[in-house]
Amino acid sequence: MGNQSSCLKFAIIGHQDNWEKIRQFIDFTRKSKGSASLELEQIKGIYTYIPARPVFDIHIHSSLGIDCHGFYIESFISPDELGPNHLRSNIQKVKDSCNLASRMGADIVALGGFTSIFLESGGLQATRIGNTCFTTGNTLTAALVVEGIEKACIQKGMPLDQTRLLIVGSTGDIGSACVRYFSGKVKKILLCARREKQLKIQSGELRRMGQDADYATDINAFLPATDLLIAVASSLLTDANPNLLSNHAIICDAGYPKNLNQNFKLICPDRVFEGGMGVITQKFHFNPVIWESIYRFPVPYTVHGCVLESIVLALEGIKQPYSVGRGNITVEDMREISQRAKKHGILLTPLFHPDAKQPEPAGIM
Amino acid sequence: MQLIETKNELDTEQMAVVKDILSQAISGELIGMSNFASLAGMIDDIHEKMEAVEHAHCERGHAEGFMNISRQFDIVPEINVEGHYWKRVRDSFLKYAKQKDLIACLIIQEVMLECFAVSMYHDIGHALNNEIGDLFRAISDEEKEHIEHSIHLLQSELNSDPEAFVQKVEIIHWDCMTILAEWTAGDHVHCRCGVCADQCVKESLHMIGLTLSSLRGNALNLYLKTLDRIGLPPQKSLEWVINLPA
Repeated sequence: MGNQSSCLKFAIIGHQDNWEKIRQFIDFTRKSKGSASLELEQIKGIYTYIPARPVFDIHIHSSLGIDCHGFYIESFISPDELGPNHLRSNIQKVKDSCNLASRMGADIVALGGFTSIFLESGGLQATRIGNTCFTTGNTLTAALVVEGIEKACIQKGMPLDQTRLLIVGSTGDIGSACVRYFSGKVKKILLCARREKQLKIQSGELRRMGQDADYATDINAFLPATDLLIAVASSLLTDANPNLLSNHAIICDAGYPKNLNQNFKLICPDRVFEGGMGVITQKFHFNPVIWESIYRFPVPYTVHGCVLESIVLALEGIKQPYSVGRGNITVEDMREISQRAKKHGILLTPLFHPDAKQPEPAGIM
Repeated sequence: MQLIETKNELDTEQMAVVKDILSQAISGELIGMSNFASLAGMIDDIHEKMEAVEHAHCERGHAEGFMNISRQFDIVPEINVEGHYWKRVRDSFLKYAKQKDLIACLIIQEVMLECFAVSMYHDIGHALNNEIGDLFRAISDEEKEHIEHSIHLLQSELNSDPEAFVQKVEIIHWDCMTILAEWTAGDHVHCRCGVCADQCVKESLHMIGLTLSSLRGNALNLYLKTLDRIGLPPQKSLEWVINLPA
C-alpha cells in the first residue's frame, strides 16, 4: 500500500492537437449510449463549444511507494484554432480552466501545450488562484529534451562537442533553456525564431561566453549545416524544407502541436524522435479508462514532460509555481526537477518516432 | 406604411430570413407563456403561483414585442405553436406538468428553453444591426433572469438528493434537449417544421452573417455552463450533450 501523507493533488490543463483523438473520444462516448458516430464536421460543431471541464482522473504510483491522484481538465481549444486569430477566445478558455482547477481543489496545476502561453506571457497575473499554484511544466520538459538529445548522440555515435545544434524556437521558454544547457557543450549553436532582435541579443550573449553561434529567422538557412535539431516552436513550420537537411542530422520534435511537417518524418524516419517525453515506470491509471487508449504513445506509460512536472511537484509536496514566465529556466532547475523525477521512477522515455504505432520499448534509434 | 429608418438596410432575401427567425421567436415565446401559465395552475405555494403568472406575462410581453417589431418592418410572421418542434416541446412540458413535477417543469422552461433563447437572441441581436437586433438583445438580457432564478432553486434540489436529481435531469435532457438538438441540427433541414415560411431557415442563416453551428454551439455552451453552475457532474453533462442529435 502506498501512502498519501505528503502527496498533493495535481491537475493538468490541456488541449488536443488533432481531430483523430477527439473523434475517438466522441465516438466512444456516443457508442456507450448507443448513438451513431458523427461526421467530422458535426464533431467540430460540438467540440469547440464545450466549456472547460475535467474529463478523466489520474492515479499514479511512485517507485517510493507513494500514491498520487489528480485529474485532467480539457480546455476544448480546437486544434484548428491554435493561431493568433483565436488568441482572445483561447485565453478565456485557459482562464476558465484555471478557475475550474482551483474550484476543484487542485494544489498544483500544469498548463500543457498551448495553454502554457498564459503563464509564459504573464497573462495569469498571479501564479496562484486561491490555494492553487500553476506551472507551465517547461522545466521538466526542457530537461527531458536535452537528455533525449544526449542519448540520441550516444546511440548514433555522434560526439556532442563536435555537433552543430539548431534550436528552432530558441527564444521561447523551452528553447532558451536548451540554449543555456548546451552552451559550452556543442561546437556551434544555430538559433532560429521569428523575432530577429531577440535572436541577435541571444546570439551576442552566447558569443560573449565563448560559444560559437549564429542566428536566422528562416530555418532553411541552417538545415544543410545542422547535425542536431531541436524543434520547440509554438506552431507548425510550414516553410521548412526537409530536403535541405544534412543526411545524418538527428531531429527532436518537442513542439505541441508538432512543429515539423510530415515530410521530415518520412525522409529521415530513423533519426526523428518525439522529445520532452517521460515514462512513469510504476505505471498510471486513467478513469474513464478510454483515455488510456486516446492518450497513448508507442512506449507504454509515456507522458508529456509538462504533465510529469506537476506530478513530480505533487509527489514531492512542493506547492509552488515552479516554471513561470519566459526565459527563466536555469540549468540548475532542470537538473533538480530531473533528479526529483528519477527518485519516483519517472525517467526519459525510450526514444520513439512521433508516428510509430506499435509499442517499442527499446526505442527506434 | 412607412418603414422605420434602419442603420443597416436588409435586402429581400435577408428579410425572408428575419421573418423566419421572428416566426420561431414568437412561437417559442408563446410556448414559454403557455408553460408558465400551466405552472401557475399546478403550484400550491401562493407566492410561487404569482411568480409563474408574472413570468407568463413576461413571455407574453416578449411575444408581443416581436409581433410589434414585425409590423413595423412589414413582416407577417408565421405563428404556429403546433409546429413540429414547438408542439413536441410543449407536450414534453405538459407531461411533467400533469405529474405536478414543478422541478421538471423548471428544468425544461427555465434551463433548457431559456438557455437556447438567451444565447440565440444574443447572437441574432448582434448579427442584426437595427431595431430588430436591439429588441433581440434586450429580450436576451431579460430571459437571463429566468435562468438565474432557476439556478438557486435547482441547486438546493440537487443538494437534498444528488443522485435522484441527476437522474431526473438526465431523463428530461433526453426528453426535451433531443427536440431542441434536432431543431438546430444540420441534418434536419428537409422536414417542414410548420413555422418557417418556405425552405428551412437553417440553410439561409449565412445571409445575415450567422452560422448554424455557432448559433447551436453557443446555445449548448450556455446550457452546459448552466448545468455546471447548478452543480451537475461535468463529465455527465458532457456525455449527455455529446449524445444529442447533431
